[in-house]
Amino acid sequence: MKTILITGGAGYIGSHACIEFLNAGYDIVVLDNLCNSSPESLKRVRELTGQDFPFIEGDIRDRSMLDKLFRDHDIDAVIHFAGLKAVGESVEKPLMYYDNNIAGSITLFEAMQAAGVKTIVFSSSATVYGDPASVPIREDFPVGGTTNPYGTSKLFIEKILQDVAISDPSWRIGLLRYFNPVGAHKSGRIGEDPRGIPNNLMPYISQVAVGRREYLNVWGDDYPTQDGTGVRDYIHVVDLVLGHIKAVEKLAEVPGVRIWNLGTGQGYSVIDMARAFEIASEQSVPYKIGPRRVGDIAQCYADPSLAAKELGWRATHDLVEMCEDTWRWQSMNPKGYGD
Amino acid sequence: MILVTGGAGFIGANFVIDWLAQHAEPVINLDKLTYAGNLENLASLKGDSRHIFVQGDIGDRALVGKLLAEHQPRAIINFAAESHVDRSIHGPEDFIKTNIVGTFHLLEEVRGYWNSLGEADKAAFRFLHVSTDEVYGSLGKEDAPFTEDTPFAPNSPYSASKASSDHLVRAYHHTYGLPVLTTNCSNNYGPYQFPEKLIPLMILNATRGKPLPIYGDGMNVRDWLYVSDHCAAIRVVLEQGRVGETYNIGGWNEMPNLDIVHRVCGLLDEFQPKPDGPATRLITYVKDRPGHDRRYAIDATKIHREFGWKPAETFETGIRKTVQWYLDNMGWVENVASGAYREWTDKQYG
Repeated sequence: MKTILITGGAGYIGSHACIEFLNAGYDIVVLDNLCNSSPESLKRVRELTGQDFPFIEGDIRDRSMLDKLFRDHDIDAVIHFAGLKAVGESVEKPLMYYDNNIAGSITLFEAMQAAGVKTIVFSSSATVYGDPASVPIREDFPVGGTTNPYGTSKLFIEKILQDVAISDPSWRIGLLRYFNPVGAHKSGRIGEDPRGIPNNLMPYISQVAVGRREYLNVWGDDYPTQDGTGVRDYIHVVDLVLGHIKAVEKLAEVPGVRIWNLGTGQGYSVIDMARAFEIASEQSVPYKIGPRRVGDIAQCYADPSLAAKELGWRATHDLVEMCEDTWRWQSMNPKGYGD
Repeated sequence: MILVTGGAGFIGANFVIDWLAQHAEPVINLDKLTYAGNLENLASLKGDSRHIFVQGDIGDRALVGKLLAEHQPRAIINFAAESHVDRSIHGPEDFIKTNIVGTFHLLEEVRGYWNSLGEADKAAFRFLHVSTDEVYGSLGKEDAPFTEDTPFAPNSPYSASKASSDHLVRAYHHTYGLPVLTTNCSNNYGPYQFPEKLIPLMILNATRGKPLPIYGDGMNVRDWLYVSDHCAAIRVVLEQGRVGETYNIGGWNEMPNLDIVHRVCGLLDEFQPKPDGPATRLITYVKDRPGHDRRYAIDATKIHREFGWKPAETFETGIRKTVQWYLDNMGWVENVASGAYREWTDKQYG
């Protein structure tokens, strides 16, 4: 069976990927520097799957560690989640973000090339589309116009991989542009555990529902959307990681660079999300309307038809499940992995 | 992929609906949603992923540039315009802004996009500008109808703004080589026409028992074309028209306004007879509007000669469908007859 290296495998999406790859019969090796994640998540992955796997605590910028990893393990493909992801922080600390995300990725790709491992699925983001003029967003839309170093780092890494593929057509590269991953594993044992104030809507809502925060700030209610609040495409994290398995399978058939949106194609407003969460959690989610945030766009949702056509993949979890699963995780672990 | 501007308005919405009924090719619909643009006109396309609606202005260069880059359309059909002559008399500025300056900005973005295309795409690209026969001015009773060679002589701020945009479009072909086509059409009628225009206004007022205002003596003559026929003609010109040419589109049907009103009244009496008497009793003559062109008549033999196109509907069949549609869609009528519309009719006829 194939062995998959999962970088950032202890993080939110990474830990869910570990479970689904293991369940699908793959062997995995996890690499994580634990700068924004907990080894507890991997412990729980082992519990939930009943399977063990090697974990290397290390940093993708550490070339000698990577060389050793590729010597010690016969890796067939890399799923590359490792990266810093807080938009606001990236504006304050651009060098740190570019170093971690871009320099780290380059080091990883160099080590892969040296080891002859040339299949990679990269965790990109819909943020690379900037502020699109129309929705839904197709993969052939122009990219660029990112408004923060986090987004720009995703854009650059995509470019780097595309250039690598031009130089050496034997690479097999999947660029997965995520919309807004939310939700958690059905067990309620693993989920998103942001440190500090959450940047993203869903963890924020769930912290309001669990009583950790007083109310939800809604940034802007005068966008040209149905209720005036921003509209996004939220996708269940389990659907998202299943897309990665499909991508690995597809890349085995064809070399080159492939780009797929991973979203549901359905846009929900901030108010939709708060209401759905109230229903799923039976808690109230009070909110206050604030001004628009600089750099936020009115609406963003995917045209997921390419992934459906080429990967045979489609998101199957609906909004209620996203909220229920988030709530189960949040209420069973009110302090995340920290207690 | 084609880009349609003004696709939530009367003719644009009919065009988009007809297009998607006949082609697999998707449409991006850019519309500002002014009073005359209404998403309800497109309600039948809900859930059709081939229809991508974007609210915005043809003069918004950044937006148009992005849309062109995202969708790489092979053609643009420019319906977007302020179109009501009476409004242009009360407030010409919007007409200058949208019809002239807006078209200029659109052309500039399209020129940049077109220049970025590969040779084959460049050659296949079309910019089709939808215009009016009013650019040719007014005719006397015995004058020959307008041909494509009739000199422009616009008489209202509306027709002057359309004439101006027609000239810009022409210039972008001669100066930059942009593959343009222009159509000049006579009066349209049919479903989804905003009830400020003659036919829907008469239907709406008659059903409400309100006066049917007739300008002057009601003997102003127009050529009338059923909107679906106009849309069909545009499709023909888009696929077959010679680049840089203009094509007149007409209904082969000249008629004085008063006759139109009588026909509409007759159909209303037939479909929905009222106990208080025939609908014609509501006809009221009002002071003629300034610069009211006496007669328009269009010679549409060129499009017939070159492509064999002629309207499928006669006035008899078209007006019957139209009156029936309005009676069947009074909910639509009520919804579009918003505050803005009432304000307008008050100002005009109050």
